[in-house]
Amino acid sequence: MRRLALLLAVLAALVVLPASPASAHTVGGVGATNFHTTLSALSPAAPGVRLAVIENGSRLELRNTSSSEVTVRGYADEPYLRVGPDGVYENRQSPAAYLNQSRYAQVSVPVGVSPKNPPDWKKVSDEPVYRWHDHRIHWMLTTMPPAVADAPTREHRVTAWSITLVQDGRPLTATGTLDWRPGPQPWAWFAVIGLAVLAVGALGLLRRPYPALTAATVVMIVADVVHAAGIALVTPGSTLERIGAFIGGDLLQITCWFVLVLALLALRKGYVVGAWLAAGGAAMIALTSGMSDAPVFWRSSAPFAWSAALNRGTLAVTIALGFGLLLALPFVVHRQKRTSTGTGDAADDAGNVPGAAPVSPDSPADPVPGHADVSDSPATPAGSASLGADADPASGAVEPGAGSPAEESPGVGGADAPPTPGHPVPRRRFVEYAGAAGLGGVAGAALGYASAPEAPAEKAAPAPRTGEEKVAFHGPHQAGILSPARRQAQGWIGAFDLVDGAGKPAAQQLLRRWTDAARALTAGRRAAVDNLIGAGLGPAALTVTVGFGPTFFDKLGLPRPEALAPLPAFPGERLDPARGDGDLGVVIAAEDPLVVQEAVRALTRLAAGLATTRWGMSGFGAARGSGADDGATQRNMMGFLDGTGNPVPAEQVFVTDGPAWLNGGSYLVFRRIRMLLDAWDATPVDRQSQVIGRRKDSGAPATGGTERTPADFGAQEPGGGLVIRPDAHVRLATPAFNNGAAMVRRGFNYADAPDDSGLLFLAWQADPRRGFVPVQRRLADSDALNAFIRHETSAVFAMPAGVDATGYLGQGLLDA
Amino acid sequence: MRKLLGLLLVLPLLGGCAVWGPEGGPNGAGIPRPSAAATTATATDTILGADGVQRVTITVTDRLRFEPSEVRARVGVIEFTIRNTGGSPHTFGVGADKLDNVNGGETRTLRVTVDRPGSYPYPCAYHGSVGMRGTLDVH
Repeated sequence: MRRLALLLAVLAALVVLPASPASAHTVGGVGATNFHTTLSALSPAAPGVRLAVIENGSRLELRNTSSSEVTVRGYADEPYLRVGPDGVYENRQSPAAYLNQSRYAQVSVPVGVSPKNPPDWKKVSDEPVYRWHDHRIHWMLTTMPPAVADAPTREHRVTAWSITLVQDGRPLTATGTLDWRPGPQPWAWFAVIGLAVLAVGALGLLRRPYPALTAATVVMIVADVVHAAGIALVTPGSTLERIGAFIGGDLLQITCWFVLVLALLALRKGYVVGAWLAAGGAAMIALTSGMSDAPVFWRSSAPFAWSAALNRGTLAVTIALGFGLLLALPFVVHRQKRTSTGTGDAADDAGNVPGAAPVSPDSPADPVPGHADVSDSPATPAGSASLGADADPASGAVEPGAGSPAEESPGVGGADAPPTPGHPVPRRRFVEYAGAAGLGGVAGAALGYASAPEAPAEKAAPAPRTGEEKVAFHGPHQAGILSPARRQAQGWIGAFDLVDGAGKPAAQQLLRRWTDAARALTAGRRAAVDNLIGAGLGPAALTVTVGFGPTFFDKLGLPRPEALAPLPAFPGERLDPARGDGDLGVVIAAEDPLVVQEAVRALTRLAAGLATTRWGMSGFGAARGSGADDGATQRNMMGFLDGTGNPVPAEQVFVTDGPAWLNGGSYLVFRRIRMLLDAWDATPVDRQSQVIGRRKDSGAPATGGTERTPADFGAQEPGGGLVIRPDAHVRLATPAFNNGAAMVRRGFNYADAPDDSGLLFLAWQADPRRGFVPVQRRLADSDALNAFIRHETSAVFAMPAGVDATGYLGQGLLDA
Repeated sequence: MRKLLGLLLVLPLLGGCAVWGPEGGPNGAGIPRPSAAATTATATDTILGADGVQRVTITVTDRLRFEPSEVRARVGVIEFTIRNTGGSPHTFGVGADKLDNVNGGETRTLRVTVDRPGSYPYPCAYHGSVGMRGTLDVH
């Protein structure tokens, strides 16, 4: 009897002290949930690199058994993790190193940590595997998305996500989705549990209840061990770590199992204390894991190693037997008392005491009521302690291995999570891709420019003739990058090389001459050298844009901007060096081909003795007025709309953190891309649409809608597989999967010979290292379009800021 | 006993949300509906100071919202004061000008110069993908 009292006191203390084990069965802070994180693809596939969503969407796991290290990019595109043969290194200068420790990012990032700082690598594991809470993949709030709150019984696509890994300089993009999938109706389970509780309770009415109670207790133990093991098994890590999580996370439960085993021993000997222990231990389990795990009945996923039916079944058995054994107890005790003392009234009282009020402690030592008094305690305090812990996690001590309170609380009650019912929740569901940047795309830029204060006089009166249109040459940015809003119909791009021995004075003279000529021609005046090519024609929205190649700086001994490196070699390209690169790059465009050539010839003539033409190419777009809507996205020679995904605002292509002469300028990457049109035209349109990832007729993403509808990169086909294929051009090129790499593409078509047509690809960006280079790496690697195109020339230029009415282009660089 | 059972039955009805977390009980019972104020974005104008700087204060919370989520300004210098009243760190930036990190409880300011009208998004780098973003409209 003393031992029993001691045991129960210990049990009560265990229950009261570490209140937190009563929390729901969570793995990585996530219990049963209707949120589903799906990893759709890691493309291109890399042998030995395995990325997985684990813990029901709470964390990502990266395992890299290849011989080459994989870098994971953080929230600002900075290197965050290195996972490879040497183990795992974490960049202590990446905010992700701190944020990703906690499911809800309830952390502080230390002062001085910045993704812009050089990485500070710290080894965090010897194994080539790492797991982290990546906040891009799961719902971060403790309130629901508004669409879900509005209609929780319907399915919702909450977001689509992407994460970039880099291996050997090659980007690997993981893309996936976060969905809300409503769970099943739980009422049938509840009905079964209710009936089962009554049925088990009725066991207490049997003449010889002990064998039945023994059987019920055995089933209870088995069901709960299976239930707990199913949860422990999805805990990531080695077997040892799993066993650790099992024991550490279920201390209370294991104690209860111990009590139940004692109950079995007592029941076998026919002691009534066995019924007490069975009822106490079982009810305790039913209350703690049963109540907090109950959502598995009505949520669509739960951390469990086996089927959801087994999860629900074992839990139902646990709850039914737990409360059933409790219900049976009074009857058993009653019968026991009747057989031992022959008086029923006192036994009734004692039997009804559990769960009601504290029993007066002064009862004399009749053996059976003595049982009742003491063993009363496991049921009552146990019950109330566990309920208290459920409702108020903040009051509980932290249980080692069970996660921090901050992580757990949203799963059980959210008492220390700020949002509470009634608080507003964030804006409506959205899909965040820069594919969506296409929304408004060119038209948006057009609106912005129409209202720009730069050229009010020239914009005031609409020009009656195309030829009379002028594009302001002066301003903070050079014309021809974003202005005019509608790219002109005719264009020329070329490069010049400084003559041998030319120094800074020659360069100054050249830029001064070119600037003056451009100033005159774009305003409709004649240039200093008048070739009469455009005589009788207006400026026709002429723009002249000038910049410097890497060799310009090397030849003149000027400091080269860091971002202006020669482009790296890309797989599959067949570059003709004679028609690429160059010291100076010039882009000339107008609505009229003769106006373009007038400027080309004028600049060429003015360069005499200072620079010679290295190469030059002409291109074209749709003529103004040909289409119903001049602002519509134009088609390229493949027949597809080209330029839908240009970024908004387009201003992000201007340099803001470069040298003074370059701030307000931009980097131009040029590629002459030959299209293998015979092969293309022989390809069925359906296949063409797969290659691009958009419909050919409307330009809408393969996932539907219109041209401006954001693509749904996570959408799956009914038979599996992605609707927008892993190697589709739009998937690989979209800024959303290139860390927001934003480029404004304003290219021209060319058709130089029957088998030589294609695209003069011009892309403007603030930094090629964050723009063209990573995107092209990805494209060159796996773009389905590669079978139909060939990159034949390449150049990169830093195009300086704009010029005022007196200065010359590049003055800040050359006069310095 | 009866009281305990009664409590067990009543408890889920009383607070599905408190017991089972933000996803609530069966069929979403207990999920708070978003209030109208929360879903209607209200644009806020900056206040022009005597020094010609336009100022606005944006509050960020663990609700992962910028409040306001839409700011209207004119071309020129705009000073943002970012008050993080929640527990999670956030970032704030317009174009290339960024506050790399604003921890919970911190208040920091950022000056940006916008010389072109347009719509400039200000996403939180950490939580942009779950909707934490706002827009600066410059006209």
